[in-house]
Amino acid sequence: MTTPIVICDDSNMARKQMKRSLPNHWDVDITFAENGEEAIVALEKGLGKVLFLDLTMPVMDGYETLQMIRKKDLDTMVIVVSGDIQAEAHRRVISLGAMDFIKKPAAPDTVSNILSLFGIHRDGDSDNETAGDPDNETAAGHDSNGDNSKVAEADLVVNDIDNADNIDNKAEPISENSHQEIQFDSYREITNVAIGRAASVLAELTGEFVNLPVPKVSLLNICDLNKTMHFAAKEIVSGVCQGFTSQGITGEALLVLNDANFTDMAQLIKHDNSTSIEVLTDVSSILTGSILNALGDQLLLNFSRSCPVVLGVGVSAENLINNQSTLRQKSLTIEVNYEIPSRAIKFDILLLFTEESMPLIDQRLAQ
Amino acid sequence: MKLDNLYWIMGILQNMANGLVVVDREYRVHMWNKFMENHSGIALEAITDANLFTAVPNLEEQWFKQKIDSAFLLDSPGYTIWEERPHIFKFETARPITGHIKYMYQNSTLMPLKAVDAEVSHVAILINDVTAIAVNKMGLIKANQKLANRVNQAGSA
Repeated sequence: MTTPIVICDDSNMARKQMKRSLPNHWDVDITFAENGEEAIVALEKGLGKVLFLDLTMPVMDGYETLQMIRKKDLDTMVIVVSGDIQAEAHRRVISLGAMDFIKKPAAPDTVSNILSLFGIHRDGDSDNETAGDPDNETAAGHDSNGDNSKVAEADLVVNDIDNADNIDNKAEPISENSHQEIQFDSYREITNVAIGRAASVLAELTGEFVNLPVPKVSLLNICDLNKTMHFAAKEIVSGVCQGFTSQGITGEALLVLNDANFTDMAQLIKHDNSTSIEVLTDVSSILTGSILNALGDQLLLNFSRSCPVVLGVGVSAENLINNQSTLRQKSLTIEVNYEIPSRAIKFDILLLFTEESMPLIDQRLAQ
Repeated sequence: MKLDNLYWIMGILQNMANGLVVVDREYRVHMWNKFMENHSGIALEAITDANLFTAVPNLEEQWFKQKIDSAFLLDSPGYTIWEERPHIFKFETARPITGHIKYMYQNSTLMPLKAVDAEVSHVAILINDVTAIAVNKMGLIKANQKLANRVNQAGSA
């Protein structure tokens, strides 16, 4: 019997990854959804007995989707697949009715264990005639051989959900250029996984839940860097920067914090009488440390890091980065606005990569 | 020394923020740590047993060979400082985007290593990133010059 399933994730790369980690011989009919709204539409059409659901998404995120499923009393089994691996995130989704939680990128073994745990599919269950065909999950993700998973992707995303394209255009200012869109999508996804891991470390250390944003990816003029941060030009901030490099993939990780948050942040990391520079370097080593580890894991690299450098303490945001005589024009910029809602703390992580790093990252992700 | 210790000492040498290269008398590479791999883009497997000057073509061969040779000959450590040769290995600085300097300034130490027979068999090359120090010192020199010029002008006026 064919099982209708929905894979809901804003990242194309993540949807493909998820599809690839499904058991080989599971007879499924896959519908892809780019956000919670699309997933709900698909569920209402009966296209998702099982829903693989991401948490951090634009339009309607995973938490809202779970609430909506409950409100509409939709008949589906939800398995959350997320880079947000904070214990609190796990607890929240379970309390909202999700059956289980898989850490991104989903490992095929974990997926099949969970499916068999809940009696959805057991390995060795031969529920289709072409079982035994080893090639039915190819790297391209399309099952040309065997009809065991009919991909309804094109139908649903383009035709059945009328506003899918509109949503896309609003969320992505770069959608004219589809190559770049795919490229940036993959950068966003690996960053997602990385910041999720970093947030989980921070949450463990502080006992506070960290809100995870969708990372903003852009190719920016370096002279505009100060303006990109989500701080106002005159806001007083402090920042620290750490260089990283491996096999030609080179960049800097910046942590920028509003000075008004220092006391709260110091309490949070249990430093009661520390100077602002200490707080800055401590938070930086927690976050950039775990982000670089997680990025390295996904790119199969082990980054060399330089000693952190203080960019400025108590300076206005517009002057933090001295961009007068930079060596380069542009940098791949990934901006992450972390938030700790219970303490009203906001801070920015900027991952800056040299333009030359981009083809090398692409190569590694294509492997 | 315990085997355990050896294991983590290797970990330190691999991951420290300094470059470490070991060569023999024929300049064949026997050690090339993570710092060297990551900054040069040349993997350990690719350079092991290869001639250093063939594998890294933009080294200043004659000058650097002399430095290595004298470490073998003298059996005492040799040094190079950024003022004589600023960039031994042409690596980018740790701040390729917010920084204003393209190449990493380097000091190096060349340490003779003895084999069991007490003969110097290898030389270890330790590369230190001194970009920040170099930039500050150059800035200071420039500022002092400016100041001296002003004083001279004021004196002659």
